[in-house]
Amino acid sequence: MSQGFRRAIGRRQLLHGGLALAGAAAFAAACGGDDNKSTTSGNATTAPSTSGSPAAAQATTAPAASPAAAAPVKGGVLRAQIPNVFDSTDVHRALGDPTLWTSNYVYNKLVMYKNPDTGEIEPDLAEKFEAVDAGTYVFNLRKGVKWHPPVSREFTAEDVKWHIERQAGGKLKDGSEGAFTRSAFYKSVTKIETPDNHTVRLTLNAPNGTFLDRLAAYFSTLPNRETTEKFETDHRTLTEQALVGTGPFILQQLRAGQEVKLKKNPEYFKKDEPNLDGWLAPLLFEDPNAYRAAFQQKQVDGYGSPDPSQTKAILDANKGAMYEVLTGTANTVYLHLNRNKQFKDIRLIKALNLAFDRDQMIQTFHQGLGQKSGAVTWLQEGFAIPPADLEKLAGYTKDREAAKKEARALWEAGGGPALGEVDIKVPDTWLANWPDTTQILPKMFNEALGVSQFKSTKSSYNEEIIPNLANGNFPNWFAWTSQVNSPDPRNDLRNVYHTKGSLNFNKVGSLPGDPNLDAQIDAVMNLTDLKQAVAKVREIQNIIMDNAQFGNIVLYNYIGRSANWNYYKANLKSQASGGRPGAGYNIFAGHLTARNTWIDTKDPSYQGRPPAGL
Amino acid sequence: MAQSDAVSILPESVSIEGGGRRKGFLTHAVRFARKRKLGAFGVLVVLFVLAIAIVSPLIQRYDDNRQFQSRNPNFQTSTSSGGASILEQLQQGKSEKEIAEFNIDRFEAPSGRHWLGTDQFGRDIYARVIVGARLAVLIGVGASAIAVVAGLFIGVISGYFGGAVDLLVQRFVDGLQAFPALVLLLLIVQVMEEPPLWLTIAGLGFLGWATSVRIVRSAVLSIAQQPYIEAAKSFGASSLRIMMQHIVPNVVAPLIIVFSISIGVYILAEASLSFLGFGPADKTTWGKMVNAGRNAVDLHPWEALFSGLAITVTVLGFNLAGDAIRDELDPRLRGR
Repeated sequence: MSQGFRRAIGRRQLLHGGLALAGAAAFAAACGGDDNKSTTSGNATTAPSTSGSPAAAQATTAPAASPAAAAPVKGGVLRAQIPNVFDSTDVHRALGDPTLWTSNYVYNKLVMYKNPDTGEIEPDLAEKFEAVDAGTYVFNLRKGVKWHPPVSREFTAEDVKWHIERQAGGKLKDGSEGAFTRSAFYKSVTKIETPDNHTVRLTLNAPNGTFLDRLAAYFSTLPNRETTEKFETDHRTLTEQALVGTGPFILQQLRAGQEVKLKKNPEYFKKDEPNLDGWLAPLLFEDPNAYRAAFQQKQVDGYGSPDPSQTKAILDANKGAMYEVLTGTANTVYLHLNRNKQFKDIRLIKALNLAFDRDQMIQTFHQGLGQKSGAVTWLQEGFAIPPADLEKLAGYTKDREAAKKEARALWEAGGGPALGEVDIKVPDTWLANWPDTTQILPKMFNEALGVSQFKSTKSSYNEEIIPNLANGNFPNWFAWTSQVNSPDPRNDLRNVYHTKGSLNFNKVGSLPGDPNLDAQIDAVMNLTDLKQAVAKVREIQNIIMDNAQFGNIVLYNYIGRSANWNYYKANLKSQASGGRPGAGYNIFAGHLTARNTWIDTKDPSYQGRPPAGL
Repeated sequence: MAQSDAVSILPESVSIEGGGRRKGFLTHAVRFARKRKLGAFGVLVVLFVLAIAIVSPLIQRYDDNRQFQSRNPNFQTSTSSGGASILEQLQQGKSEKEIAEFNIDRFEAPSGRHWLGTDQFGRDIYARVIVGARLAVLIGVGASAIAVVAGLFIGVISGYFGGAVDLLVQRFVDGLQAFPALVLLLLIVQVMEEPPLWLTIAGLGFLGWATSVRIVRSAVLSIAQQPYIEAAKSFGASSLRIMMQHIVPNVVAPLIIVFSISIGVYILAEASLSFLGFGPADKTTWGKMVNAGRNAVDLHPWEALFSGLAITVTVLGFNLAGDAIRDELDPRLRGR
């Protein structure tokens, strides 16, 4: 399977980290499904096989889904934000998430997650799919699927072939090189056969147990060839004409500095979708007070403040008219220590892993709305170490005094005091939300280690961190970094901890004393039996956790709180009921919006909502 | 003639009034307070802020970065909560405060324990306002001193030598004054990538010296025409001696006025920088506090309110005091 471009994308998303966090995370998370992981085959009418599903193993800990209070009603125009920092209209070359997220409303994929948190896969453009073996996949495409106007022709196997070949080849129509974000993944497809207009058979260069997972992720949407090629030399200019898909919504407006408008696709191949007539996405509010005011006046239907207490205050003031949604935030908070520089000795890394008070920081920055993550985040329910087990590991225990004592001993033994000043950088996008982190962080480390050598200064992803990742000169830094965008963590693990991993900037596996993880990671990548994969990932996690994640220290994922007016039936994993909050999807589920989102015009809270039209 | 002119611009407290008895400091203070009530209020505020800045470690009560937290008596361990995750417990209808072992005492209203309440990170606002005073005074006084000393030095040279030196200096000052100060400051801060505190002070001082140069030069141009300067030259005194002994003492008074008035301006400038996120990131500043508090000012007003109040009162104090000093030292305004 392709080696994880997923996290590569995540890193690039850092470019948009701050914006994505504030408005979008709460919204993007609010998109929807079910349990159980994929599988070897599936079709449109029968549930996919769930043998060996990691999700099944976790089913008892998943929140019980409560049925929606009423059946969805058709009609209405949603007003909710879309993170509209678009960097390209070409999904094959887009670096930032906004384009890719938006494409999930306009385009389709071959397969999609029924529940992105657990990874159950269901057909989308493919009517049926089958893994002949871990290196061969066959997709039977739906018939009668039409591209949006003005293209309006039928979707065929040739479209899939072009989609893969364009990205694997890395060339534009005129033969020039293009920066195709996921070309490494598609290069793993060595043979594409299209025996008829509705069958595609793919052969990979090596067995890959995560191939379907990659195809179901939000960045695998299929664009229209004619339109993409027409606009490919001008793909930075925003225009709705450049995104023609097969999906539930037709893009009516995509212009720089203007609200995004989506209207219902009347000829959508999933006949009951979408519920909405349209979606009007206002520009992101730069002033949080303006956003709050707009929500209170029902000019937007949902709201989430970076400060959950503000959202809570609004919910408390509007009981009976609003409901709460809690969602795991896909942005993962890390502490990155550079093993090429000050942190060559693994004992120093272990010391900081112990010194970092995860509970305290979750309290400090997120008011307790967060949960500690291991090398595999808790968002990836099927593969993550359960919370009770995690709390037994170094850096995760409740006994802070013991942790501090051990941390000090390791710091001394590793020669920490001789390092001199240790600067933990904090990117400006993080500081925009939590400006005093540069005071709080060094205080925590200094107190825990009994030293005064830690300080913290402002940095920039674009100028200091990202440009220095590949050359190994990156600073130590704290912030959210990669975004969890798929339930299967295997590609992430390979990218970061395999010596050939594209994101192994800390040279894990090639430094003295490091365990050789390569063979184990290679083995887990080839597994198609998910039970085995889960067990193997757990073994690998244990090694990584024993070594304080080799300096790429995953700390926690926080929980976003958002508020929706009752009339807005959002795309949720479980609906709010009986005073209990609704549960959003932790991992992006925008492709389920068409199925799950609707406006209840009969709800009393709908009174006073300003008219919304496209 | 020359002597009377020189004396007239000295502070009244050091003037000699026709061989009469020297007035005491207290008498002057009382007369000043009666005559300039607003000015006296300003001086009191300034003295109060200075006192706070000096003794802040003694009166701040708590470390400005200490996070207060309370133990949750109803906390359940993961075992007793059935191993449910935080998210699952929240979705079962529990609040985040019920789930956590410790809760940060955030956004607390003023109380006996926290006189001005706590901020979003559970830190004592009173302690932070007090610590912020130290930085505000340091920046205000430091930048103002730099501006005045640099202005004195350059202004005297420019005014005394005149000609090409004067032309060059004045055109440079013209250019500097034509540039919006805040924009220039933001530029410096951006280029320096989070400059240390001393550089922020120096930057602010650099932006302010142009005003001092103008004032000093004007005074020097006038003083240089006085007969006693001509007399000094005729006795063969060097330019350095003339400047140091006859000119500088006579331009001190206007500089004191500039110094006292501009402190408030620099405090405000630093607060603006911090508010915009360009202040010293690792220090507690009033501007940063206002910025942090503004997002929820209607829900939790204490941080923005008290830090804003601290800025307002301090700047007002320095301005009122500066105005009063100017009125006292300017012979044309002294009688008003």
